[in-house]
Amino acid sequence: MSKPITPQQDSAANAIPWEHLPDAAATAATLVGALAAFWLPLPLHSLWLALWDRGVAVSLTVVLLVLCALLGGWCNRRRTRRVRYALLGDGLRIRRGLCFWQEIVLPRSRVQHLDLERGPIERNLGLATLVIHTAGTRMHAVRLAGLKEQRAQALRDALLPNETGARDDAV
Amino acid sequence: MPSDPAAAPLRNVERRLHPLSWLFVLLAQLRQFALPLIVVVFAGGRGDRWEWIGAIAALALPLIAVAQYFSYRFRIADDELIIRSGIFQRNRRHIPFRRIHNVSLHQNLLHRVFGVAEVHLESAGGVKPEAQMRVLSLADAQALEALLQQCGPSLDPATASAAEAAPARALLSLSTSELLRLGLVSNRGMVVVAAGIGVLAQSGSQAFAAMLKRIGENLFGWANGQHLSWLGWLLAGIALFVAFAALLRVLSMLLAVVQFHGFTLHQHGERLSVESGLLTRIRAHIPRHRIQAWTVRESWLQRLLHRQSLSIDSAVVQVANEQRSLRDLAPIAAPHTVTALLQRLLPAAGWPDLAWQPLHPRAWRRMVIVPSAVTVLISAVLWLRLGNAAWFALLALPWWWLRAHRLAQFAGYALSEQVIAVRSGWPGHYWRLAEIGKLQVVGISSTPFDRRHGMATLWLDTAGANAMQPRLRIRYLPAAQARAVLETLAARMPNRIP
Repeated sequence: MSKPITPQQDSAANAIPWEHLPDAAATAATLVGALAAFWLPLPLHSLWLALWDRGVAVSLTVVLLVLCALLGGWCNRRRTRRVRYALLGDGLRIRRGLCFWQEIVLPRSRVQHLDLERGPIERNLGLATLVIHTAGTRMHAVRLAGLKEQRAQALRDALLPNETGARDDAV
Repeated sequence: MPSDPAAAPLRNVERRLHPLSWLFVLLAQLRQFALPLIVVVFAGGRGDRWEWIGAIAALALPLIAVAQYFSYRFRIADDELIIRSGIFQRNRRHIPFRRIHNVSLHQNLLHRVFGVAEVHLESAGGVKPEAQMRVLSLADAQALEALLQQCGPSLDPATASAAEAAPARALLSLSTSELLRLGLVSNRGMVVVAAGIGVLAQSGSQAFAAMLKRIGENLFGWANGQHLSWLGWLLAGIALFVAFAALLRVLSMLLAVVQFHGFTLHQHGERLSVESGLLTRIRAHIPRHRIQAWTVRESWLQRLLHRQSLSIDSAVVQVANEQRSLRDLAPIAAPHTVTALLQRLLPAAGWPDLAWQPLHPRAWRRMVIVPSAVTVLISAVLWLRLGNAAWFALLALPWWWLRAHRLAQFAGYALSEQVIAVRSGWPGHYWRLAEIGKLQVVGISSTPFDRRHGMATLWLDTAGANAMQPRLRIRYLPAAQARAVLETLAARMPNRIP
């Protein structure tokens, strides 16, 4: 979890206690990335069949499948390594992105409701995804994947809207 | 409200809709099922089976409509509306008044003949109205409307009675000449024609294609008969284009008059209400504090006519082609009227003298690159096809250069204590304003290109921002400035404006 300080870190935000995702999150991200990307060369198989004979085409497709899986897994792993979040007094900050950097500020008073999701991969690794719903349009559901289960629950409890019921719907 | 004699009999009594409501339910169903029914009857084929299905459907629809009338009841309790509905599956729905964002009354010609109205109650987020009362007698509808207006969420009894005492104040009304101007500057006609062509093309009828072909042949035949030179062809083409554009504008004007005839904007205490429509009269209300963001627009045509428009975002999700809730506060108005409206309704903004901050000094270079690259690429492709004539496409480059300069000069943002404003656009301008208390999520992002120039984009997310409105974001800001604004907003956002 000890990562070198990236250039994304700058003087203005140095005071923020950023937290990283656990190592298990990188494992999960590798698997998810590989699963999401490995099938991409399948449609090209018919093209290889038309160009070369069957054996060459099949082996080429298999090689491409493996390459895509590796690439997808590696990319997603690096992306997850770059995710950091900070729970501040008045809300949550999330910073992410390899190439396209993004930082969002999500005040606690804007949280509508929270979901904890656990897919099969995450469940096996003891991880969970926190989904934060706001009344916003583009960012109406902010996902933070790869949190340790206890940490996710703690975050959820910390972000729960404090005034319940009596309040109107905040928009 | 004991002070309101009209609303009093509505309270705590279970009521039904207007006895004629089955007729309007049936009409709505027919409109929904019209196409499938026509297809079944005409295109379905010969067999007895299809006719049977059509007949059963035709019989079932009125029965369902009548059953709906008998099963739908509503009751107004102290602070909520309770609706019981459903024929086989009984539903009971409680709608607290404080959740209702919008109340609107619809009256088309038939409604007016029978003296009834359709009432829509809308809450945040839902695609469908929270309650759609089809139909109430006009007196009941107005009583319900008045009742809901008094039961605003933030109104304690003192302000509520003050609001009652305050007379409705007319903020804006549009004359027909203004509506004709509105039609002139808008593209409504084009939208309708495009939709019409889409429907005709989709219906798969040969008649439409045949008609187009015949018109085309006649025109070309006539033109060929005239033995035109290339100049003649050019002039004929231009004339045809101008005639078509003029026709579209006339259609736009007609539509604007139909939609906005008798447009009035009233302020009643903390509520805004808009009434408009020639055939279908719509009256919609929104509490001032439900407004999420504001947009002022000034297209270059509007600027020529010295006009602007003011619209708002509400948290009610708008279905694309259904004008349901209040959206336009001023479809068209002179700039000083828009200014007066904004000063009255959003005094915190300090409109129009905001402290506008410019973009990054090199922002224009970023703005010129993408369109220029696309233009060069298109020219290259055209050159492969058409030869040297394609290089005329490069004449667009100076235009892109000019546009980027003007856009970078105009675009910017202004941050005040309670409001953030963004302006952009060229040749048409737009301004977006949002109260910081209404921002939901804010963020900054940067691409590798941004970072090379030390730039960043600031994102502001509000509720109910629809795809048709320009986004609340500021591109090509100096990175340090973007971060400073982000930190300022992050510090001010949690403190809601009461």
